[in-house]
Amino acid sequence: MRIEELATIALDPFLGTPLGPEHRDRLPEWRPGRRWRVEFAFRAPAVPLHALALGDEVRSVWRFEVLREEVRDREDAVVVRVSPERRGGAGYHFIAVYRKRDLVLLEAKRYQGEVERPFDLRKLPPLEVGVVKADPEKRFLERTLRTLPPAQQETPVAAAGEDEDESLARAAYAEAEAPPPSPHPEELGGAEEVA
Amino acid sequence: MKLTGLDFPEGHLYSRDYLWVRDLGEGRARVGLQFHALPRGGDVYFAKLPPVGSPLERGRAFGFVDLAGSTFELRAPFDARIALRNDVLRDDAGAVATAPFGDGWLVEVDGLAPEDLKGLLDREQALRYYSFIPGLAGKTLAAAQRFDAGRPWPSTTSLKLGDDLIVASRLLPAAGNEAFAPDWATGDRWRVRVKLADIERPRTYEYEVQGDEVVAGDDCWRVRAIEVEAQFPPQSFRRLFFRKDDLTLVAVDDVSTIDPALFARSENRRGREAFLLERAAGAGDEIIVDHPRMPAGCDDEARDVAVGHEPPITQIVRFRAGASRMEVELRAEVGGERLVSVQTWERGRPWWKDAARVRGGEETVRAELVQG
Repeated sequence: MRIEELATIALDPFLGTPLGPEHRDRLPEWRPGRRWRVEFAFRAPAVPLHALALGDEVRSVWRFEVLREEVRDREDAVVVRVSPERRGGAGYHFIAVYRKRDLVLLEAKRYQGEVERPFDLRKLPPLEVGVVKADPEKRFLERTLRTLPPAQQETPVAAAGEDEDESLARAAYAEAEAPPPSPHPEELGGAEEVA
Repeated sequence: MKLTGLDFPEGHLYSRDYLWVRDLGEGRARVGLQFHALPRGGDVYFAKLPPVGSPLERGRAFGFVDLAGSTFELRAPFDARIALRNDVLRDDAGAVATAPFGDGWLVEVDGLAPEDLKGLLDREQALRYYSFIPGLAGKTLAAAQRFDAGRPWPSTTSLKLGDDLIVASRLLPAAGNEAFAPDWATGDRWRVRVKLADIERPRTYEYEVQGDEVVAGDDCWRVRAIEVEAQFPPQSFRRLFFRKDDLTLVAVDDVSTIDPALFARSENRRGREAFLLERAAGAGDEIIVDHPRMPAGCDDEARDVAVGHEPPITQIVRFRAGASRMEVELRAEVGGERLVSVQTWERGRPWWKDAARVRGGEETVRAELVQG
Protein backbone atom coordinates (compact mmCIF):
# COMPACT_ATOMS: atom_id res chain seq x y z
CA MET A 1 0.00 0.00 0.00
CA ARG A 2 1.23 3.44 -0.80
CA ILE A 3 0.84 6.54 1.28
CA GLU A 4 -2.04 7.79 -0.84
CA GLU A 5 -4.06 4.72 -0.02
CA LEU A 6 -3.30 4.86 3.67
CA ALA A 7 -4.07 8.55 3.72
CA THR A 8 -7.40 8.17 2.02
CA ILE A 9 -8.58 5.74 4.65
CA ALA A 10 -7.04 7.66 7.49
CA LEU A 11 -8.41 11.07 6.51
CA ASP A 12 -12.03 10.28 5.82
CA PRO A 13 -14.06 9.19 8.86
CA PHE A 14 -16.87 8.01 6.60
CA LEU A 15 -14.79 6.18 3.97
CA GLY A 16 -16.37 8.27 1.26
CA THR A 17 -19.97 7.60 2.28
CA PRO A 18 -21.08 10.30 4.72
CA LEU A 19 -23.80 9.81 7.28
CA GLY A 20 -27.22 10.52 5.86
CA PRO A 21 -29.32 13.46 7.06
CA GLU A 22 -31.28 11.13 9.35
CA HIS A 23 -28.14 10.55 11.39
CA ARG A 24 -26.72 14.04 11.42
CA ASP A 25 -27.29 14.16 15.17
CA ARG A 26 -24.51 11.59 15.39
CA LEU A 27 -22.03 13.85 13.70
CA PRO A 28 -19.19 14.72 15.99
CA GLU A 29 -18.57 18.31 16.92
CA TRP A 30 -15.19 19.51 15.71
CA ARG A 31 -14.34 22.76 17.39
CA PRO A 32 -10.95 24.43 17.10
CA GLY A 33 -8.52 22.94 19.58
CA ARG A 34 -10.19 19.54 19.77
CA ARG A 35 -7.68 16.72 19.47
CA TRP A 36 -7.91 12.98 19.12
CA ARG A 37 -5.87 10.00 17.97
CA VAL A 38 -6.79 7.01 15.87
CA GLU A 39 -4.90 3.77 15.63
CA PHE A 40 -4.97 2.07 12.25
CA ALA A 41 -3.87 -1.49 11.61
CA PHE A 42 -3.34 -2.09 7.91
CA ARG A 43 -3.13 -5.69 6.79
CA ALA A 44 -2.30 -6.58 3.23
CA PRO A 45 -2.72 -10.31 2.70
CA ALA A 46 -1.22 -10.26 -0.76
CA VAL A 47 1.72 -8.07 0.10
CA PRO A 48 4.71 -9.75 1.78
CA LEU A 49 5.09 -7.15 4.48
CA HIS A 50 7.06 -9.65 6.53
CA ALA A 51 9.74 -9.39 3.88
CA LEU A 52 10.15 -5.81 4.98
CA ALA A 53 10.40 -6.95 8.60
CA LEU A 54 7.09 -5.31 9.30
CA GLY A 55 5.26 -8.44 10.38
CA ASP A 56 1.93 -9.14 8.76
CA GLU A 57 0.40 -5.82 9.62
CA VAL A 58 1.38 -2.21 9.86
CA ARG A 59 0.16 -0.34 12.88
CA SER A 60 0.25 3.38 13.06
CA VAL A 61 -1.33 6.07 15.16
CA TRP A 62 -2.50 9.30 13.58
CA ARG A 63 -3.05 12.50 15.51
CA PHE A 64 -5.87 14.87 14.61
CA GLU A 65 -6.22 18.46 15.72
CA VAL A 66 -8.89 20.91 14.64
CA LEU A 67 -7.02 24.07 13.71
CA ARG A 68 -9.70 26.52 12.67
CA GLU A 69 -12.95 27.16 10.91
CA GLU A 70 -13.07 29.02 7.64
CA VAL A 71 -15.23 29.57 4.59
CA ARG A 72 -14.50 27.62 1.40
CA ASP A 73 -16.53 28.26 -1.71
CA ARG A 74 -19.18 29.95 0.44
CA GLU A 75 -19.43 26.85 2.63
CA ASP A 76 -18.42 26.73 6.27
CA ALA A 77 -15.46 24.41 6.59
CA VAL A 78 -13.24 22.94 9.29
CA VAL A 79 -9.48 22.68 8.87
CA VAL A 80 -7.78 19.74 10.58
CA ARG A 81 -4.12 18.87 10.91
CA VAL A 82 -3.48 15.14 10.65
CA SER A 83 -0.07 13.67 11.36
CA PRO A 84 1.18 10.14 11.76
CA GLU A 85 2.77 9.54 15.14
CA ARG A 86 6.43 8.52 15.02
CA ARG A 87 6.27 7.88 11.26
CA GLY A 88 6.87 9.95 8.21
CA GLY A 89 9.70 12.10 9.53
CA ALA A 90 9.68 15.38 11.38
CA GLY A 91 7.04 17.82 10.22
CA TYR A 92 5.25 15.32 8.02
CA HIS A 93 1.54 16.04 8.11
CA PHE A 94 -1.64 16.58 6.17
CA ILE A 95 -3.95 19.56 6.24
CA ALA A 96 -7.44 18.33 5.56
CA VAL A 97 -10.48 20.50 4.94
CA TYR A 98 -13.95 19.20 5.75
CA ARG A 99 -17.36 20.69 5.03
CA LYS A 100 -18.69 21.71 8.41
CA ARG A 101 -22.30 20.67 7.98
CA ASP A 102 -21.60 17.00 7.21
CA LEU A 103 -17.81 16.65 7.65
CA VAL A 104 -17.33 15.54 4.07
CA LEU A 105 -13.65 15.60 3.17
CA LEU A 106 -13.19 18.41 0.64
CA GLU A 107 -9.45 18.58 0.25
CA ALA A 108 -6.22 17.25 1.69
CA LYS A 109 -2.71 18.50 1.20
CA ARG A 110 0.46 16.84 2.33
CA TYR A 111 3.40 18.69 3.84
CA GLN A 112 6.92 18.04 5.03
CA GLY A 113 7.28 20.91 7.41
CA GLU A 114 6.31 24.00 5.42
CA VAL A 115 6.91 22.39 2.04
CA GLU A 116 3.94 20.91 0.25
CA ARG A 117 4.41 17.40 -1.14
CA PRO A 118 1.65 16.95 -3.71
CA PHE A 119 -0.21 13.68 -3.80
CA ASP A 120 -3.40 12.37 -5.33
CA LEU A 121 -6.10 11.84 -2.78
CA ARG A 122 -7.73 8.62 -3.82
CA LYS A 123 -11.24 7.48 -3.23
CA LEU A 124 -12.73 4.19 -2.30
CA PRO A 125 -15.23 2.81 -4.78
CA PRO A 126 -18.73 4.00 -3.93
CA LEU A 127 -19.92 2.10 -0.88
CA GLU A 128 -23.57 1.19 -0.48
CA VAL A 129 -25.02 1.59 2.97
CA GLY A 130 -26.19 -1.88 3.87
CA VAL A 131 -27.52 -1.59 7.39
CA VAL A 132 -27.88 1.25 9.79
CA LYS A 133 -28.80 0.47 13.34
CA ALA A 134 -29.95 3.55 15.16
CA ASP A 135 -31.82 1.96 18.03
CA PRO A 136 -32.48 4.85 20.40
CA GLU A 137 -31.70 2.53 23.29
CA LYS A 138 -28.20 2.06 21.96
CA ARG A 139 -25.58 4.57 22.79
CA PHE A 140 -23.91 4.09 19.46
CA LEU A 141 -24.75 3.83 15.80
CA GLU A 142 -23.49 0.92 13.79
CA ARG A 143 -23.41 0.93 10.05
CA THR A 144 -22.11 -1.42 7.48
CA LEU A 145 -21.22 -0.46 3.97
CA ARG A 146 -20.11 -2.43 1.03
CA THR A 147 -19.50 -2.28 -2.63
CA LEU A 148 -20.53 -5.25 -4.67
CA PRO A 149 -18.29 -7.26 -6.91
CA PRO A 150 -19.35 -8.64 -10.24
CA ALA A 151 -21.41 -11.80 -9.85
CA GLN A 152 -19.28 -14.81 -10.72
CA GLN A 153 -21.95 -16.35 -12.92
CA GLU A 154 -22.06 -13.22 -15.06
CA THR A 155 -18.35 -13.21 -15.60
CA PRO A 156 -17.68 -13.68 -19.29
CA VAL A 157 -15.22 -16.28 -20.43
CA ALA A 158 -11.85 -14.68 -20.89
CA ALA A 159 -11.09 -13.98 -24.48
CA ALA A 160 -8.05 -15.52 -26.07
CA GLY A 161 -4.96 -13.74 -24.83
CA GLU A 162 -6.86 -12.11 -22.00
CA ASP A 163 -6.12 -13.29 -18.52
CA GLU A 164 -8.73 -13.99 -15.90
CA ASP A 165 -8.08 -10.83 -13.93
CA GLU A 166 -8.69 -8.69 -16.96
CA SER A 167 -11.86 -10.57 -17.69
CA LEU A 168 -13.10 -9.94 -14.17
CA ALA A 169 -12.19 -6.31 -14.39
CA ARG A 170 -14.20 -5.93 -17.57
CA ALA A 171 -17.12 -7.78 -16.06
CA ALA A 172 -16.97 -5.47 -13.08
CA TYR A 173 -17.22 -2.48 -15.32
CA ALA A 174 -20.24 -3.93 -17.04
CA GLU A 175 -21.74 -4.63 -13.63
CA ALA A 176 -21.11 -1.11 -12.49
CA GLU A 177 -23.37 0.12 -15.26
CA ALA A 178 -26.26 -1.94 -13.91
CA PRO A 179 -28.26 -1.19 -10.74
CA PRO A 180 -26.51 -2.77 -7.77
CA PRO A 181 -28.05 -5.92 -6.33
CA SER A 182 -29.57 -5.72 -2.88
CA PRO A 183 -26.95 -5.87 -0.16
CA HIS A 184 -26.95 -8.78 2.27
CA PRO A 185 -25.65 -7.13 5.37
CA GLU A 186 -25.84 -10.25 7.50
CA GLU A 187 -22.84 -11.56 5.62
CA LEU A 188 -20.71 -8.63 6.53
CA GLY A 189 -20.18 -8.97 10.24
CA GLY A 190 -20.59 -5.97 12.45
CA ALA A 191 -18.37 -3.38 13.94
CA GLU A 192 -18.21 -5.44 17.12
CA GLU A 193 -15.98 -7.82 15.27
CA VAL A 194 -13.05 -5.51 15.57
CA ALA A 195 -14.09 -3.63 18.66
CA MET B 1 -2.62 -4.86 -4.04
CA LYS B 2 -4.94 -1.95 -4.61
CA LEU B 3 -7.61 -1.09 -2.13
CA THR B 4 -9.11 1.94 -3.64
CA GLY B 5 -10.62 3.50 -6.66
CA LEU B 6 -8.51 6.12 -8.24
CA ASP B 7 -8.74 9.78 -8.81
CA PHE B 8 -8.19 10.44 -12.46
CA PRO B 9 -7.32 13.92 -13.72
CA GLU B 10 -9.89 15.79 -15.75
CA GLY B 11 -9.17 16.42 -19.42
CA HIS B 12 -7.93 12.93 -20.16
CA LEU B 13 -9.39 9.80 -21.68
CA TYR B 14 -8.46 6.36 -20.50
CA SER B 15 -7.99 2.98 -22.13
CA ARG B 16 -8.89 -0.26 -20.44
CA ASP B 17 -5.23 -1.23 -20.58
CA TYR B 18 -3.87 1.33 -18.12
CA LEU B 19 -3.08 4.10 -20.57
CA TRP B 20 -4.27 7.68 -20.52
CA VAL B 21 -4.79 9.74 -23.67
CA ARG B 22 -4.85 13.53 -23.98
CA ASP B 23 -6.42 14.78 -27.19
CA LEU B 24 -4.16 17.48 -28.67
CA GLY B 25 -6.44 18.15 -31.64
CA GLU B 26 -5.91 17.73 -35.37
CA GLY B 27 -5.63 13.95 -35.06
CA ARG B 28 -2.82 14.14 -32.55
CA ALA B 29 -2.77 12.82 -28.96
CA ARG B 30 -0.37 12.31 -26.09
CA VAL B 31 -0.32 8.91 -24.41
CA GLY B 32 0.93 7.95 -20.97
CA LEU B 33 0.71 5.18 -18.44
CA GLN B 34 -1.97 5.36 -15.73
CA PHE B 35 0.65 4.14 -13.31
CA HIS B 36 -1.57 4.44 -10.24
CA ALA B 37 -3.97 1.89 -11.67
CA LEU B 38 -1.42 -0.85 -12.25
CA PRO B 39 -2.08 -4.10 -10.42
CA ARG B 40 1.47 -3.99 -9.16
CA GLY B 41 3.41 -0.81 -8.69
CA GLY B 42 7.02 -0.40 -7.76
CA ASP B 43 9.98 1.45 -9.16
CA VAL B 44 10.21 1.88 -12.92
CA TYR B 45 13.63 0.92 -14.27
CA PHE B 46 13.23 1.16 -17.99
CA ALA B 47 10.71 2.14 -20.67
CA LYS B 48 10.99 0.59 -24.14
CA LEU B 49 9.20 2.73 -26.72
CA PRO B 50 9.04 2.43 -30.52
CA PRO B 51 10.89 4.93 -32.73
CA VAL B 52 9.13 7.89 -34.34
CA GLY B 53 7.18 6.83 -37.42
CA SER B 54 6.30 3.36 -36.13
CA PRO B 55 2.69 2.32 -36.61
CA LEU B 56 0.45 1.43 -33.67
CA GLU B 57 -2.11 -1.28 -34.10
CA ARG B 58 -5.08 -1.27 -31.79
CA GLY B 59 -4.84 -3.97 -29.11
CA ARG B 60 -1.24 -4.88 -29.95
CA ALA B 61 1.74 -4.27 -27.72
CA PHE B 62 3.91 -1.35 -28.82
CA GLY B 63 6.41 -1.27 -25.97
CA PHE B 64 6.89 -2.16 -22.35
CA VAL B 65 7.84 -0.75 -19.00
CA ASP B 66 10.18 -2.62 -16.68
CA LEU B 67 9.02 -2.48 -13.11
CA ALA B 68 10.66 -3.88 -10.03
CA GLY B 69 10.04 -7.59 -10.46
CA SER B 70 7.75 -7.47 -13.47
CA THR B 71 7.28 -6.10 -16.96
CA PHE B 72 4.19 -4.28 -18.14
CA GLU B 73 3.27 -4.40 -21.83
CA LEU B 74 1.86 -1.27 -23.39
CA ARG B 75 -1.12 -2.01 -25.62
CA ALA B 76 -2.22 0.45 -28.25
CA PRO B 77 -5.72 1.83 -27.65
CA PHE B 78 -6.14 2.73 -31.35
CA ASP B 79 -4.50 2.61 -34.74
CA ALA B 80 -2.08 5.51 -35.15
CA ARG B 81 1.52 6.48 -35.83
CA ILE B 82 4.25 7.49 -33.38
CA ALA B 83 4.91 11.20 -33.88
CA LEU B 84 7.07 11.89 -30.86
CA ARG B 85 8.73 9.83 -28.17
CA ASN B 86 9.46 11.10 -24.67
CA ASP B 87 13.24 10.81 -24.66
CA VAL B 88 13.37 12.10 -21.09
CA LEU B 89 12.52 8.54 -20.10
CA ARG B 90 15.82 7.26 -21.43
CA ASP B 91 17.54 8.95 -18.53
CA ASP B 92 14.71 9.03 -16.04
CA ALA B 93 12.29 6.17 -16.53
CA GLY B 94 11.14 6.70 -12.95
CA ALA B 95 9.13 9.70 -14.14
CA VAL B 96 6.54 7.21 -15.40
CA ALA B 97 5.82 6.45 -11.74
CA THR B 98 6.47 9.79 -10.11
CA ALA B 99 4.77 12.02 -12.69
CA PRO B 100 2.66 9.78 -14.91
CA PHE B 101 0.55 12.71 -16.10
CA GLY B 102 3.47 15.11 -16.34
CA ASP B 103 7.07 14.46 -17.33
CA GLY B 104 6.44 10.73 -17.41
CA TRP B 105 4.30 10.70 -20.55
CA LEU B 106 5.24 8.04 -23.13
CA VAL B 107 4.56 9.02 -26.74
CA GLU B 108 2.62 11.38 -28.97
CA VAL B 109 0.74 9.91 -31.89
CA ASP B 110 -0.89 11.34 -34.99
CA GLY B 111 -3.15 10.09 -37.72
CA LEU B 112 -6.11 9.68 -35.41
CA ALA B 113 -9.67 9.79 -36.63
CA PRO B 114 -12.32 11.30 -34.29
CA GLU B 115 -13.95 7.90 -33.82
CA ASP B 116 -10.67 6.46 -32.52
CA LEU B 117 -11.19 8.32 -29.26
CA LYS B 118 -14.80 7.30 -28.82
CA GLY B 119 -13.95 3.87 -27.48
CA LEU B 120 -12.01 5.33 -24.60
CA LEU B 121 -13.35 5.96 -21.11
CA ASP B 122 -13.98 9.40 -19.71
CA ARG B 123 -12.91 10.21 -16.19
CA GLU B 124 -16.05 8.96 -14.48
CA GLN B 125 -16.16 5.77 -16.48
CA ALA B 126 -12.48 5.13 -15.86
CA LEU B 127 -12.88 5.70 -12.17
CA ARG B 128 -15.55 3.05 -12.04
CA TYR B 129 -13.68 0.68 -14.30
CA TYR B 130 -10.45 0.89 -12.35
CA SER B 131 -12.18 0.78 -9.01
CA PHE B 132 -12.62 -2.90 -9.77
CA ILE B 133 -9.05 -3.57 -10.50
CA PRO B 134 -7.59 -7.07 -10.59
CA GLY B 135 -7.28 -8.27 -7.04
CA LEU B 136 -10.45 -6.50 -6.05
CA ALA B 137 -12.57 -7.86 -8.85
CA GLY B 138 -14.74 -10.73 -7.73
CA LYS B 139 -14.45 -9.78 -4.06
CA THR B 140 -16.60 -7.65 -1.84
CA LEU B 141 -15.19 -4.54 -0.28
CA ALA B 142 -17.07 -4.05 2.97
CA ALA B 143 -16.79 -1.69 5.89
CA ALA B 144 -18.31 -1.64 9.34
CA GLN B 145 -18.25 1.42 11.55
CA ARG B 146 -19.38 2.34 15.01
CA PHE B 147 -20.24 5.93 15.89
CA ASP B 148 -20.56 6.86 19.56
CA ALA B 149 -22.34 10.07 20.42
CA GLY B 150 -19.95 12.80 21.47
CA ARG B 151 -16.86 11.14 20.04
CA PRO B 152 -14.93 12.97 17.33
CA TRP B 153 -14.31 9.94 15.11
CA PRO B 154 -15.78 6.47 14.62
CA SER B 155 -14.89 4.39 17.68
CA THR B 156 -14.09 1.46 15.43
CA THR B 157 -13.88 0.88 11.71
CA SER B 158 -13.13 -2.31 9.87
CA LEU B 159 -12.61 -2.73 6.16
CA LYS B 160 -12.72 -6.15 4.59
CA LEU B 161 -11.70 -7.30 1.15
CA GLY B 162 -13.55 -10.56 0.70
CA ASP B 163 -12.90 -12.44 3.92
CA ASP B 164 -9.70 -10.60 4.69
CA LEU B 165 -9.76 -7.85 7.25
CA ILE B 166 -7.42 -5.34 5.67
CA VAL B 167 -7.88 -2.25 7.83
CA ALA B 168 -9.05 -1.88 11.40
CA SER B 169 -9.06 1.33 13.35
CA ARG B 170 -10.01 2.45 16.83
CA LEU B 171 -10.26 5.79 18.47
CA LEU B 172 -7.68 6.47 21.17
CA PRO B 173 -7.46 9.10 23.85
CA ALA B 174 -5.79 12.26 22.58
CA ALA B 175 -2.73 11.40 24.62
CA GLY B 176 -1.72 8.15 26.26
CA ASN B 177 -0.40 4.85 25.15
CA GLU B 178 -1.91 3.62 21.92
CA ALA B 179 -1.64 -0.03 22.90
CA PHE B 180 -2.69 -0.01 26.53
CA ALA B 181 -4.90 3.02 27.13
CA PRO B 182 -8.39 1.56 27.58
CA ASP B 183 -11.11 2.50 25.15
CA TRP B 184 -13.99 3.34 27.46
CA ALA B 185 -17.54 4.27 26.68
CA THR B 186 -20.35 5.10 29.04
CA GLY B 187 -21.84 1.91 30.40
CA ASP B 188 -18.67 -0.17 30.26
CA ARG B 189 -18.22 -2.39 33.33
CA TRP B 190 -15.58 -4.69 34.70
CA ARG B 191 -14.76 -6.40 37.96
CA VAL B 192 -11.62 -7.03 39.95
CA ARG B 193 -11.05 -9.49 42.75
CA VAL B 194 -8.91 -8.22 45.60
CA LYS B 195 -7.14 -10.40 48.16
CA LEU B 196 -5.83 -8.72 51.27
CA ALA B 197 -2.92 -10.35 53.06
CA ASP B 198 -4.60 -10.44 56.43
CA ILE B 199 -8.14 -11.34 55.35
CA GLU B 200 -8.94 -14.72 53.88
CA ARG B 201 -12.08 -13.89 51.95
CA PRO B 202 -11.36 -12.02 48.71
CA ARG B 203 -13.45 -9.01 47.83
CA THR B 204 -14.88 -8.12 44.47
CA TYR B 205 -15.22 -4.59 43.16
CA GLU B 206 -17.21 -3.52 40.18
CA TYR B 207 -16.18 -0.57 38.05
CA GLU B 208 -18.63 1.22 35.84
CA VAL B 209 -18.04 4.10 33.43
CA GLN B 210 -20.99 6.27 34.35
CA GLY B 211 -20.54 9.25 32.09
CA ASP B 212 -18.74 12.55 31.65
CA GLU B 213 -18.02 15.32 34.06
CA VAL B 214 -15.84 18.39 34.05
CA VAL B 215 -13.37 18.27 36.95
CA ALA B 216 -10.68 20.87 37.50
CA GLY B 217 -11.57 22.31 34.10
CA ASP B 218 -10.98 19.05 32.26
CA ASP B 219 -13.40 16.78 30.46
CA CYS B 220 -13.29 13.55 32.47
CA TRP B 221 -14.72 10.06 32.54
CA ARG B 222 -16.60 9.36 35.77
CA VAL B 223 -16.00 5.77 36.94
CA ARG B 224 -17.64 4.24 40.00
CA ALA B 225 -15.84 1.49 41.92
CA ILE B 226 -18.04 -0.29 44.46
CA GLU B 227 -17.75 -3.53 46.37
CA VAL B 228 -20.18 -6.22 45.23
CA GLU B 229 -21.01 -9.67 46.56
CA ALA B 230 -20.13 -8.35 50.01
CA GLN B 231 -21.33 -9.89 53.25
CA PHE B 232 -22.67 -6.51 54.30
CA PRO B 233 -23.77 -3.63 52.10
CA PRO B 234 -20.84 -1.25 51.62
CA GLN B 235 -21.09 2.07 53.38
CA SER B 236 -19.13 3.92 50.78
CA PHE B 237 -17.79 3.65 47.26
CA ARG B 238 -15.16 5.36 45.17
CA ARG B 239 -15.81 7.73 42.34
CA LEU B 240 -12.81 8.11 40.06
CA PHE B 241 -12.33 10.88 37.52
CA PHE B 242 -10.01 10.27 34.59
CA ARG B 243 -9.04 13.03 32.20
CA LYS B 244 -10.37 11.96 28.81
CA ASP B 245 -7.45 13.02 26.72
CA ASP B 246 -4.78 11.05 28.56
CA LEU B 247 -6.62 8.96 31.17
CA THR B 248 -4.80 10.60 34.07
CA LEU B 249 -6.56 10.11 37.37
CA VAL B 250 -7.64 13.64 38.24
CA ALA B 251 -9.57 13.13 41.46
CA VAL B 252 -11.06 10.49 43.72
CA ASP B 253 -14.28 10.86 45.71
CA ASP B 254 -15.03 8.79 48.76
CA VAL B 255 -18.83 8.71 48.55
CA SER B 256 -21.40 7.65 51.10
CA THR B 257 -23.76 4.98 49.79
CA ILE B 258 -26.47 6.24 52.14
CA ASP B 259 -26.28 9.80 50.88
CA PRO B 260 -24.23 10.12 47.69
CA ALA B 261 -24.26 13.89 48.17
CA LEU B 262 -21.80 13.31 50.99
CA PHE B 263 -18.32 12.78 49.70
CA ALA B 264 -14.73 13.70 50.34
CA ARG B 265 -12.53 14.49 47.37
CA SER B 266 -8.81 13.86 46.95
CA GLU B 267 -7.29 15.63 44.00
CA ASN B 268 -4.23 14.52 42.10
CA ARG B 269 -1.82 17.27 42.95
CA ARG B 270 0.62 15.95 40.37
CA GLY B 271 -1.61 17.02 37.53
CA ARG B 272 -0.96 14.69 34.64
CA GLU B 273 1.22 12.29 36.55
CA ALA B 274 0.76 9.06 38.48
CA PHE B 275 -1.53 8.77 41.48
CA LEU B 276 -0.51 6.64 44.44
CA LEU B 277 -2.73 6.55 47.51
CA GLU B 278 -0.40 7.48 50.33
CA ARG B 279 -2.50 7.05 53.41
CA ALA B 280 -3.90 3.87 54.89
CA ALA B 281 -7.37 3.43 53.50
CA GLY B 282 -10.25 1.02 53.60
CA ALA B 283 -9.65 -2.55 52.51
CA GLY B 284 -8.78 -2.76 48.87
CA ASP B 285 -9.15 0.94 48.27
CA GLU B 286 -5.51 1.58 47.77
CA ILE B 287 -5.20 -0.85 44.90
CA ILE B 288 -8.28 0.66 43.29
CA VAL B 289 -6.92 4.16 43.40
CA ASP B 290 -3.30 3.59 42.36
CA HIS B 291 -3.03 4.71 38.78
CA PRO B 292 -0.05 5.34 36.49
CA ARG B 293 0.52 8.03 33.99
CA MET B 294 -0.07 6.21 30.71
CA PRO B 295 3.17 6.38 28.73
CA ALA B 296 2.82 7.93 25.30
CA GLY B 297 4.68 5.20 23.47
CA CYS B 298 5.90 1.65 23.79
CA ASP B 299 9.43 2.55 24.77
CA ASP B 300 10.66 1.46 28.17
CA GLU B 301 10.80 4.43 30.42
CA ALA B 302 11.56 5.23 34.00
CA ARG B 303 10.46 8.58 35.32
CA ASP B 304 10.52 10.45 38.55
CA VAL B 305 7.18 12.17 38.86
CA ALA B 306 7.74 14.31 41.92
CA VAL B 307 6.55 17.54 40.27
CA GLY B 308 7.05 19.46 43.49
CA HIS B 309 4.81 17.30 45.65
CA GLU B 310 5.70 14.99 48.45
CA PRO B 311 6.27 12.17 48.52
CA PRO B 312 8.06 11.86 45.22
CA ILE B 313 6.90 8.95 43.10
CA THR B 314 9.01 7.00 40.68
CA GLN B 315 7.20 5.36 37.80
CA ILE B 316 8.93 2.58 35.92
CA VAL B 317 7.37 1.12 32.78
CA ARG B 318 8.50 -2.06 31.05
CA PHE B 319 7.08 -3.63 27.94
CA ARG B 320 7.07 -7.41 27.70
CA ALA B 321 6.37 -10.12 25.17
CA GLY B 322 6.65 -8.02 22.05
CA ALA B 323 4.91 -5.05 23.68
CA SER B 324 1.77 -7.09 24.28
CA ARG B 325 2.08 -6.53 28.02
CA MET B 326 2.98 -3.42 29.98
CA GLU B 327 4.26 -3.56 33.53
CA VAL B 328 4.10 -0.43 35.63
CA GLU B 329 5.75 0.04 38.99
CA LEU B 330 5.03 3.01 41.20
CA ARG B 331 7.35 3.60 44.14
CA ALA B 332 7.30 6.08 46.97
CA GLU B 333 8.68 6.48 50.47
CA VAL B 334 5.81 7.07 52.89
CA GLY B 335 6.30 7.35 56.64
CA GLY B 336 9.72 5.78 56.43
CA GLU B 337 8.37 2.77 54.54
CA ARG B 338 8.80 1.92 50.90
CA LEU B 339 5.48 1.71 49.13
CA VAL B 340 5.38 -0.17 45.81
CA SER B 341 2.39 -0.69 43.56
CA VAL B 342 2.84 -3.02 40.59
CA GLN B 343 0.34 -3.38 37.74
CA THR B 344 0.22 -5.41 34.56
CA TRP B 345 -1.75 -3.99 31.65
CA GLU B 346 -2.71 -5.94 28.56
CA ARG B 347 -3.90 -4.66 25.26
CA GLY B 348 -7.66 -4.39 24.83
CA ARG B 349 -8.55 -4.73 28.52
CA PRO B 350 -10.48 -1.97 30.29
CA TRP B 351 -8.25 -2.04 33.38
CA TRP B 352 -5.05 -3.61 34.61
CA LYS B 353 -5.01 -7.39 34.39
CA ASP B 354 -3.40 -7.84 37.78
CA ALA B 355 -1.90 -5.66 40.47
CA ALA B 356 -0.19 -5.87 43.83
CA ARG B 357 0.72 -3.54 46.67
CA VAL B 358 3.86 -3.96 48.74
CA ARG B 359 4.44 -1.95 51.90
CA GLY B 360 7.73 -2.20 53.73
CA GLY B 361 8.70 -5.29 51.78
CA GLU B 362 5.49 -7.19 52.52
CA GLU B 363 2.74 -7.75 50.02
CA THR B 364 -0.45 -6.32 51.46
CA VAL B 365 -2.83 -6.60 48.52
CA ARG B 366 -3.03 -8.70 45.37
CA ALA B 367 -5.75 -8.25 42.78
CA GLU B 368 -6.81 -9.47 39.38
CA LEU B 369 -9.29 -8.53 36.70
CA VAL B 370 -11.98 -11.19 36.71
CA GLN B 371 -14.51 -9.78 34.30
CA GLY B 372 -14.23 -7.30 31.49
